[in-house]
Amino acid sequence: MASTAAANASVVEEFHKLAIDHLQAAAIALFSDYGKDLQVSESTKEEKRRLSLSLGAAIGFTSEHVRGVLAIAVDERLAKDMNPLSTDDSGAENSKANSTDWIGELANQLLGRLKNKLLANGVELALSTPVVVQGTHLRLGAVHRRATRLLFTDAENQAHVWWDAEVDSDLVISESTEEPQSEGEMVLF
Amino acid sequence: MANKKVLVVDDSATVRQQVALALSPAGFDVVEAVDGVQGLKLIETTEELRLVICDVNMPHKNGIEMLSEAKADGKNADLPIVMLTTEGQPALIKKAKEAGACGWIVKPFKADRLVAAAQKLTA
Repeated sequence: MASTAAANASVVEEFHKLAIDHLQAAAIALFSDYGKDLQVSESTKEEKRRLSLSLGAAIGFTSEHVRGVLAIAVDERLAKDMNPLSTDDSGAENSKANSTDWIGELANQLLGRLKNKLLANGVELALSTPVVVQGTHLRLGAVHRRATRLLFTDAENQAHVWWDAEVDSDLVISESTEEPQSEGEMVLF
Repeated sequence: MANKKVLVVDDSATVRQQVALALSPAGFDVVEAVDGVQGLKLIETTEELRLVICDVNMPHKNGIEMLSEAKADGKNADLPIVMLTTEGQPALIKKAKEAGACGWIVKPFKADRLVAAAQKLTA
């Protein structure tokens, strides 16, 4: 009995480690695709120079044995810099660019990438649609013990990503041979 | 010659504008819908619609549901529908293909490749 419980706890631990590793890689690649070389930071100095987070988005997800929420928060400038519509072809500012809509789409694309990576581990998440919040000095209070906050930085910017997942101990992590279609890839049938 | 009409269905205004910015200079008129409900309505009411580009995860009616309803009972058989989404799972792609989709693009998309696909599908 004790060994079964230990094995189940080990699966939960393994899933959290996998998810965080995948999430870090997915976020770095996503930010890079939108022109920002942000890297994972564990520095307390970075914490102390915390920028005012003014835009955030959260998306829920669920599967048979995993459920939770992913959230992202950035300052207005970073959201604008990563928005593909922030400037027009001539480099002039585009008044139609909407940072609030964009942060929701960014969260959607981040969770989509994580979902595609977890498919290789036999975990298939179903995603909700994003909820966007706007304010000053945003903070997210973790509901579960397992909530993890990741900080991505460069010299000027910070992006905060929260991952809060509840995992059943009967989750099975397996290897899937099915390759998901990659980001940017187009297939015509 | 009149521009070809393309319907883009996505709950993100940013993505809809990105698609419009890519396709408009190439001679397409882009019509927008914010979810599958509005998308379905526009498929039925827009004259001479040549192509639909549709997200999957949307409120009210998702893209797969919209696709299935648009193609049900042989309707819109000649209208190409391409899915543009963050999703890449093979089972979902297979389901869309079986429901009548003619392509699948995982975001973020490359503008020149989207234009090339739109030109090919509306030729």
